[in-house]
Amino acid sequence: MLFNSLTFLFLHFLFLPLYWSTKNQTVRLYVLLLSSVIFYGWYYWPGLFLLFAAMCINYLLSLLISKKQAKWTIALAVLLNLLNLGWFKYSIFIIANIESLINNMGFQLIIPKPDYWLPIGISFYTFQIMGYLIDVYRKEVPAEKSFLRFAVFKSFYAQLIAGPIVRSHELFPQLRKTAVFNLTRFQKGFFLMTAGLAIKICIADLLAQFVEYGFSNAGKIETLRAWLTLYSFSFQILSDFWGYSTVAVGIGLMYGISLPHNFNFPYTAQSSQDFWRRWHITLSEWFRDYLYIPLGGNKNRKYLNLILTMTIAGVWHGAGWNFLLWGFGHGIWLAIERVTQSHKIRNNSPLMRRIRIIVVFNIVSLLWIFFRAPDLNTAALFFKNLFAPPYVFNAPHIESLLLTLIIFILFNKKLGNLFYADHFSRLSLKRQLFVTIFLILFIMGYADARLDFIYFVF
Amino acid sequence: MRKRDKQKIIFYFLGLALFFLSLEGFFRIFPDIFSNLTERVKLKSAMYMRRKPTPILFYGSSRFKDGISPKVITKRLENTTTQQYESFNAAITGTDIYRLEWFVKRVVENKNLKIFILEISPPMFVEGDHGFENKNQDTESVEDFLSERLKENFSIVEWRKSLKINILIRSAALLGANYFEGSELFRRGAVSDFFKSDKIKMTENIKISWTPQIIKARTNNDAVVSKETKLYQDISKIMQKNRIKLFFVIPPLTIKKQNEECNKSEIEKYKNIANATGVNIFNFGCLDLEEKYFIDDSHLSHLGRHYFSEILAIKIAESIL
Repeated sequence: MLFNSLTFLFLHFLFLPLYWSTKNQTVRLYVLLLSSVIFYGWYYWPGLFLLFAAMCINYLLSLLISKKQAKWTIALAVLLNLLNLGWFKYSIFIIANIESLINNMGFQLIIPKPDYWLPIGISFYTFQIMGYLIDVYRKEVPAEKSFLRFAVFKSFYAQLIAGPIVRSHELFPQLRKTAVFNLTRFQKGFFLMTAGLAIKICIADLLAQFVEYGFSNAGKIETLRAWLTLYSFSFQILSDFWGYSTVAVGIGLMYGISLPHNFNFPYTAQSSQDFWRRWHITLSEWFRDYLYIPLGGNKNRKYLNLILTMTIAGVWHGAGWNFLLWGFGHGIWLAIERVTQSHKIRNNSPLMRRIRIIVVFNIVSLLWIFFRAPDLNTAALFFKNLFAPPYVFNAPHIESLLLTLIIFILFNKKLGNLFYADHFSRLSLKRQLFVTIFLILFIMGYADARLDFIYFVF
Repeated sequence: MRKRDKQKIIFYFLGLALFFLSLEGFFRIFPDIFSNLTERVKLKSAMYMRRKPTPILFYGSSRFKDGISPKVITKRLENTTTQQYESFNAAITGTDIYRLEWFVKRVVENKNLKIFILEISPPMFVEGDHGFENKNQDTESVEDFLSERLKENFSIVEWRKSLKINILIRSAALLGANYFEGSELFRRGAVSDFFKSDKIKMTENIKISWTPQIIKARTNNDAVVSKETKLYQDISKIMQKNRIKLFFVIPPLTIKKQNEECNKSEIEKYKNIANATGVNIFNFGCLDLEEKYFIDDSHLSHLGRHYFSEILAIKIAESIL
């Protein structure tokens, strides 16, 4: 079910009073589980079998890890989860590449490919549960005894499909204690949900049309349009994912559950390292704690560790050489920064700060080409559009694109500030009303396309 | 939690409820205004109805929207006939046969309408989804079912498209309908064209190159009745009944585009329409025109618009005189 659908809003506002109508935490957890099952199953109900199977197996594995504390237990747990992820997400890609390699060697081979669907959110919930299992193994958290609580941890619909990837020590304590209804948190949750939807519907979905045109006509578009398409995608993917994460945090707060924010103005980053501390924060932290540091972190082979971690992060996003290259590119950039020590900011004058922001934004945007292009050929054509002659700086229909970009920049700065801490609660009543009404009117006016969230497929 | 904070949040939710209830009331009291602001074709018809007497009206797709300048036409007609003939361009991007049908039925109510110039081209034959009138919606999914129930019960949902940011431009266009010629709204290059000089001279050679071919209506009517032919036939009857002079015009195309649209089968279709309606068609779509007159394969540039409008004005003047 999409957050930007009427069905979702209807069910959400149906389950909320049910949840708060009781003070019995077990009943509340059942309400959360039921709502999550409906939410997930609505999209493709057979996916529930896989989710339930993963739930049961991981629950048993967590108890086993807690009891045995042996390396093989955690190795088995990680392997099973990776196999599940690998089978559903990467098997076709791997088979197609093996087939192509063998055929290129002169042999004729057709390997039958499995016919199945890609379970939505599989990368997110697999990583969340792997993090939990590793934490149990490291004795950082105790294994959860209650299956109901474990099931809600794995399936809470606010963050099940596209994050944020919540750590066990953040969510389990909140699921254990009976939350008291807090009007301030509820109001903030409502506001965040509204604002997140507005960002998705009014910015991401509008920019999506321009981006789609630009990339589906790669190689044919004008230079100016190519650059504007590139920047549009940078803002589209931010608005899409930021919007989703903000809705998720809002939903959580409406249930009295705090979820971590996933973004912190990433396009104001002054270095690659800074960017990854602001973009998809929960995923970056996951990779840092469960992959980069175990690989040796900054102590051994740090450049190689950086490149390897980022390449795997790239592949996590999708099965394709373009995602691998995207991650590899970020890894190389991080490594270069470390070698040149350019991630350490020495001159912090406003001018230098702005220059760094512009440079970082442009590198990030150029790397997004690999992320957005359906294949490497399209990516190459798009790069050609950007840098190769003829340079054409006139393109029809660009006025409205420029307008949308300007609206985004204003939206981003003014609205984004209200998401954090208690900035919204501290506004005067008039301003709170003005902002919320403005956002709801925007949503009503523009809620047409109901496009999927980009991160649903990861 | 302090009592004051609690009160503030309660007033926040009450305020939201009150605002949207008031807005709902406003939408119910003035449904026509909001309905007109939701859709391009409704806006254009409402603008036309609000205008001072405007006897000449154009309707078509983006090709007409980009291609016709009422200012040039009015000026040329004034020079030729020594009388002031106001004209209005109601063409819209993304029109279809339902929008055309709706528009025609609406504008004939305007007693000042004397000449109606209608585009004929493939975009005009597109079958729309009736969506602009919220009819024939597919209600198979839960999402559609909910959407339909909300539309039925809340005017603010039914006319929610009027809440887009362009409501400001649309409202201004509606209120100031007399000051707009109709083709400025959301037309590409409209802003830059505003600063361009209109002192374009039409030489005799240019006039010859822009002279349209005529697809003549044959009296022995053996037209094949297709959906679009039937629609144009109905329009022709409505116009005859209301004593409105009807012109059919095929807009100009680049040579490249003519391969698709200026071929035998398309011309046959146009001949059918001419025969079925008894109205001659001015065919600009097969002319050998230079690339400089176009911004793309089927849309005219500033220069192309000027010449196209001048030639049309000459044809209109011939019919008036």
